[in-house]
Amino acid sequence: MKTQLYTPEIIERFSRQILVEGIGASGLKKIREARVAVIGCGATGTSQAELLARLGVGFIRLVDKDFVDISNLPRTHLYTYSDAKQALPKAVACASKLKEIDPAIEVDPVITRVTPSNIEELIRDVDVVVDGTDNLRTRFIINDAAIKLGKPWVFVGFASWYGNVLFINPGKGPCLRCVIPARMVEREERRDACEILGAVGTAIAFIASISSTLVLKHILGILDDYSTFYIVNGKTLDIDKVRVKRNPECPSCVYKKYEFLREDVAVEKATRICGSNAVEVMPPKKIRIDLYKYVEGVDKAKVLSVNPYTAKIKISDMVSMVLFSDGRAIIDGTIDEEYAYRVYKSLVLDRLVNKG
Amino acid sequence: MDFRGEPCPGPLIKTVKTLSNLGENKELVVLTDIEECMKTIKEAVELLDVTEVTVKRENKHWRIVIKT
Repeated sequence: MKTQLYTPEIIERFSRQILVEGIGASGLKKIREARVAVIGCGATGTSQAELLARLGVGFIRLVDKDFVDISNLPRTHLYTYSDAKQALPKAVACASKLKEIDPAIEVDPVITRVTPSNIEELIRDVDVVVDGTDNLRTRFIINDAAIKLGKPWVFVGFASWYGNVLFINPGKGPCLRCVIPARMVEREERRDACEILGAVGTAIAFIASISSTLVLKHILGILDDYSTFYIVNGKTLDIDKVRVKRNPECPSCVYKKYEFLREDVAVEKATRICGSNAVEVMPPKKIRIDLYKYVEGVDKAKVLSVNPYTAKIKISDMVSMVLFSDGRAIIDGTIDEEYAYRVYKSLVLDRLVNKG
Repeated sequence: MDFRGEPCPGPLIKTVKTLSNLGENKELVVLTDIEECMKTIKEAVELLDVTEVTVKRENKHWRIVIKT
């Protein structure tokens, strides 16, 4: 057979989809050969990733910096209790579930924070980018990079019961910055917020269906509308469609200033994670930790889990630390950034220094 | 394989399953009298590593010849 993407079993698998008007075998070929990057593997990202994998998308890159936590399970598709107990990175857990759905597709988990310096590398070799993020700054970074590289992407905003979707095709309709002013980024970050609005799993699935349908139609070449902003109410089940236009003065898609790609946002050594009772701590320089060796020096009773990607260490009854192999850590169970940094310094930095 | 009177996906699935066990340098002849089914089988089989797929109209049905 030509490639693993087309076997008799795969034709049988997609036989009902092949029969659908507008898809057919030629549509299956387009879907199978499509390359998609899902940025953020939380509730919206995993829902979309699952739908796209089941549709047959042949390559899916999964980008996320976080690990699976038990509080993710009620609204996050694909993750299991076991993933949370192991504190598996979301990108790895999601990739493993997608391969279980379809072993013939290629999945590429990338455990990283999305920054202006890595976004172009993350999306350069894909056809479509899917928004699974939870903050505007990352979305504007994606928006700038997508315009610069001419990559279509789908914006998916979500909170509580409500969501927004906009499929952005650079040059053929408005970009995110035409529709949402950049000042909203600072407003979101200033908000005493880390407000937790919550999220309803059924509404997420509803919104993910809309965005994934737009991605599917784009892959099939039958999407001709790049100016509809979908406003979704997951409670009343209403979908409002608003026509949006390009801003003739848009700094991103008109003047190509790419302000969100200019420089990396200063990364604090310890930052509270919005929406979580946790603090993320960054290593002072690029490091790589062999986590199995690391836990040899830790009281065994305190090692809650270890795998090639993360080690989860109990700090107290209420607090734990998930250490990633790239030296990042998430101190779970506190929002005190100074305390979290002290924990990290004593359990990671000082230990690495002592080991030379 | 005579699928006259039978709508897809049955004929499609049976065709590809038969192809997977057929081996190289063989010929499979499929008959169908449903145009959509003929198109579906032809396009789907062309995704596989077959040497040639030809379709010929015969009376009230189509004859699809697949060479592996």
